[in-house]
Order: sequence, then structure tokens, then C-alpha cells
Amino acid sequence: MAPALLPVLKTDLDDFDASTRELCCLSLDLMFKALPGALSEQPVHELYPSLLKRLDDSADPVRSYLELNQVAAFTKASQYNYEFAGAAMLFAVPFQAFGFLLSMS
Amino acid sequence: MLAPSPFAPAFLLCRPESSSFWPPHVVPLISHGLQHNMVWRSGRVAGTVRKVAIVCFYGLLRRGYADRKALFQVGICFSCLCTIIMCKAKSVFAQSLGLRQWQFGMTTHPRGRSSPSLLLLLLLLISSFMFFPGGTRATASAENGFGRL
Repeated sequence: MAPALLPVLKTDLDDFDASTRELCCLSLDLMFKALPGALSEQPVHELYPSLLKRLDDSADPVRSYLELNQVAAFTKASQYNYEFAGAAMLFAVPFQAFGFLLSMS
Repeated sequence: MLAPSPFAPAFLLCRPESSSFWPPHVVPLISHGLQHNMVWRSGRVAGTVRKVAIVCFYGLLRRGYADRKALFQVGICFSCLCTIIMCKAKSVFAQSLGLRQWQFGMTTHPRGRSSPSLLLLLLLLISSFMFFPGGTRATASAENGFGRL
């Protein structure tokens, strides 16, 4: 069921409604936590650009939730070969957080 | 009288009184009820339906009904089951012939001479796909989606 659900949730990450995007992020986070180490190469390559794009989301809850929770859950859900991608994403998070603080100020 | 909320199904799913009822029905509920409604379609009504479906799915995940075991389960229809049975029969037949692994398109025996039984099995497989055309739907969806995890 998860291979069929992940592409659907990935398309919903680009929804025009911010609350739908936030719910999608929450659902993906719970799925990643339920499937530790289960994502192989193709799901990681498909999901990584979408999640990276959501780090620059216009809605604050989506962006902050991604920075706080989902990046760590995504790196745990991916297999050990792809920890470098998670490291790059973790490297991108402080810059997004810095932009978020600037926008708040 | 209050208008019915579009999020009423999500509230019903998340109520603690129904915690014993939903877990056996999680897989058909998601695969037949929620998955197709979560696909993006244009329009405001479709957007609301999509949001309600995602709320329901989030409720199932959050309450722990859709756990790891449920997420790895597959909703199998009859034609998919026939395909799986034919693939299993193919692998068992290949093992009985002494082949270590099956290669598609290989119609000759490893020792060099052609094997009529393998050709017969290939014809049987093709006829099974002709009689059960829905059996290829799982393969097509796997190619469109992420494939196996």
C-alpha cells in the first residue's frame, strides 16, 4: 500500500491549499516514522526534490514543521546509502530557518 | 439545524470509541476509499474532497490504525492473484528444471538445446495474460508510481 500512496502524497505536496499541504506533510512524517529504513533509491529520489521545495513554502506551518520534524524522519526512513542526501538537506535547513527568522523580523 | 461538516468522516475515524472497529478494515479503506480521492484533480470541490481524504488518512495514521504491517500489506484483486500464482508457478517450474534464475526471453535450455516445455509454459503465461488482462494493472501502476519500496 505504501508504494501506491507515496506518489499520491507527493503530488498533494504541491496543492494550492496550505492546510492540505500541511496535512500531507504530517501524513508523510507519520509514514516515514512507521517505515524506518524502508525507502530505497527510487522513492528517495522522487521525494527529495518535493520535500526540498516545501522548505521554501509560503505557509509558515508547513515550513517550520518540515524543518523541525520531517527532515529527520525522512533520513531515518531512507536506507543507509542515502544518508548523504539527508546530510545535504540538513545543511539546507539552517539557511531556510535563517530566512524564516528574517521574514519574522 | 447545523449543516453537516465535510470533516465528519475524519471525526468518526478518530473517535476513541471506534478504536476496535477500524484496524481490520484499514487496508481496504485506504486502498479503495481514500487513495483515489487523494489524487489531484482540478476544481474546488475536488480540492475539498482531497483535503477530507487526507484528513481521514492522517487520522488513521495518527491513531495508529495504519501501522507498519498495514502499510506493507497489498490489496489484491483476483487478476493480480492469478498473476502472482502464475509467476510462482513459473519460478517453481524453472527450479525443477535446474535453472538458478529465470531470465525473460530465454527459451533454450542451459545445455543448449531448446526445451519444448519452456515454450509451452511461455504460451501458457501469454494466454493467462490474455484471459486476465487486469493482471497487468499492478505492473503498470508500479511503473507509474515508485515501484517497490
